[in-house]
Amino acid sequence: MPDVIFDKKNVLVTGGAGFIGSHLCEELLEQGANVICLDNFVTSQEQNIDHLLRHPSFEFIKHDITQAFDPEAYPELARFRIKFQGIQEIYHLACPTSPKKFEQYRMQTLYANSVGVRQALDLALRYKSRVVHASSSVIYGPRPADGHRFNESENGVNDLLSPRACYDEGKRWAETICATYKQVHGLDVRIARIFRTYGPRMPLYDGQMIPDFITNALEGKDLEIFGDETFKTSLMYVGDLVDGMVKLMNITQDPGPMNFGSDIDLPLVDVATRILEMTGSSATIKFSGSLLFMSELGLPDLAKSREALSWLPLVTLDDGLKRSIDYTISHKSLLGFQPLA
Amino acid sequence: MANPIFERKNVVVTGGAGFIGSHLCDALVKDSHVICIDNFSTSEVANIEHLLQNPNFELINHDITKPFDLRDFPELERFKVKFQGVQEIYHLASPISKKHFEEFKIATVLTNSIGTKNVLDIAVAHQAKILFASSSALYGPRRDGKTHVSESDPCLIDHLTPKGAYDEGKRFSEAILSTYADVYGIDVKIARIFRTYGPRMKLHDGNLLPDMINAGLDGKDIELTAPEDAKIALCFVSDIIDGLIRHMRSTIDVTVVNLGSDQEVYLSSVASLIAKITAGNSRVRFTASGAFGEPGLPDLAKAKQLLSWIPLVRLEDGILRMVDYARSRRQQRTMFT
Repeated sequence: MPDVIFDKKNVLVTGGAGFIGSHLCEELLEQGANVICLDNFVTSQEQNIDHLLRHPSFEFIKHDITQAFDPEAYPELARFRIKFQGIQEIYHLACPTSPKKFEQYRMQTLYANSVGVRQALDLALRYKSRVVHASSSVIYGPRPADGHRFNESENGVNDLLSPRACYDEGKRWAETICATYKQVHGLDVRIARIFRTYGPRMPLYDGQMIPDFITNALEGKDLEIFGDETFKTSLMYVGDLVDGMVKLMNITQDPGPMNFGSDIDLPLVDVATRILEMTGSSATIKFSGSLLFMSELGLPDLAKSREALSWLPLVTLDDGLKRSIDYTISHKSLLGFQPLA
Repeated sequence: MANPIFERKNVVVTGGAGFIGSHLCDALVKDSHVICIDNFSTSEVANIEHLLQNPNFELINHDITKPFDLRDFPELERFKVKFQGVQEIYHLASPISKKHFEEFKIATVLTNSIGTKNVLDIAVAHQAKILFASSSALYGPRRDGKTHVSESDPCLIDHLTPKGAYDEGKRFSEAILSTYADVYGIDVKIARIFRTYGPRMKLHDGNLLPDMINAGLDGKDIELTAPEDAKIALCFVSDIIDGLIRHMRSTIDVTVVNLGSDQEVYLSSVASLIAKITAGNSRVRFTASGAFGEPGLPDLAKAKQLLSWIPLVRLEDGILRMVDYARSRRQQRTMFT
């Protein structure tokens, strides 16, 4: 990574208007970086970054990452002096994620995980940027029968011809092209394997469940679990994830692929119940058919992230849920609903 | 698929100038118009030179990682691609080089992803059937003492190794095919090809059989970096071609099928056979112990049952033909150098 001779480093976040991306942009601005946010709003939302648009160090470019991106061609980026200063860091998060509309976005998912990753890496090559690639726990395959925690050295078994392959296998291949660019070009690419994450700005009514639980609890509507009472998952608060990704970017030596997630297994029905308690709601919980893209995921082995990055998820479920509930209440008009008095 | 109301089908072979691809072109050109797409990154013009004058054959020099449209090539007008379209696509293109793997790594990772996507876009445009040449590498190393792997077995590979560009690329290509089939309803077929040998295999690229044959023809010792009891399964290229065509033209809807030999032979006996055929005075020497690391053997139940396919060429015959080829290539070499 070239030295930053200017007072602020230039950081590019692809998928920066998404749930995770927008929190990352916020944190990077907080830390004093210039942030270039790319997004095409396939599954992300403009309102996630609305509050950042006036920040002098933030610039949003609507761009589809599967197309080549030349940051020097945009007059709105002139103030970041990219031609001279380059881009020091790239966080590559762009990929459609939508349990409800998974089918509809299969081709975009496939393209994002192939052509899109390549474009991001070619950009990094051009500016010799350091890269953190947002991978996923799905590369390990489904929740293992023996309940063991996934370790970074595991190969993972997933069905490469399943209807989910454009995402699951796409994420695997994306890691491979990262490794290949590293082997051939010496590009500094780091891989973050992200487990199930929740928090403010998760899209509503998209099958992600937690945000819907909160909204429905506040409105007194049924909380719908896509699955049955045995559905278990671990949940990491988005702030913890952002903290981990930034740590991964900042550490001197690439420590290799890194798990980020919570290793506490929770029945989803308990989470729903807790939300009912915290909101004082008398709504009920009901169970519906499971969604292809909303499956039980395995849990991470966190030994490596603890050791290499001194990272652990710190936000408790109650704290994380409280922040999510507060966000939902304060954005009720934007989110378009009226909580019960 | 458009009805072949024309005399001959239009068939695309990507990687058609390679080892397997060129044999496939030879077979297809008998009853089809063959559009051979290759950029000669690891393949050779010599493999298809004899086809260049054939009116039913056309070569397009193109790198498939760049998007393309067959209707843009004036040389394809005589196949009436605009009207007749394309009926079948055999997608074989991928750099393969033992010796220069590093050099072609980025090309390998891009061909087996974006290249596959671009070829599938052609299939969608013409509603053509597409057959992808996948690899036994997907199954990863032998596990749990299992000698045979079947199409439904899990594929366990480390996608971050230096070989990931190839191994994971093949996996991802299969996933892309499967997604296109789901979304666009096109007919996709996947042949997982095991160790294949025959004429036109590169002679000086660090491949096991050509190296043995060269040593034999040079009258040198055949040195094998393998333990003495190492075994190997070899399928002759014409058998693979037969399998690929059967797979493409099968009336039964078969997606994934293994093609290869399930007959293991001792490496030492292959070496002795080569020593005998090359009639030199080569001795066979082993210089390593430990595991040879040969991948699993194909379970051929599906190929047998659904495609009525089994490998037929005897090892002696196959090796003989390969030695003949090596001899003539080596003669050309000495003639022109």
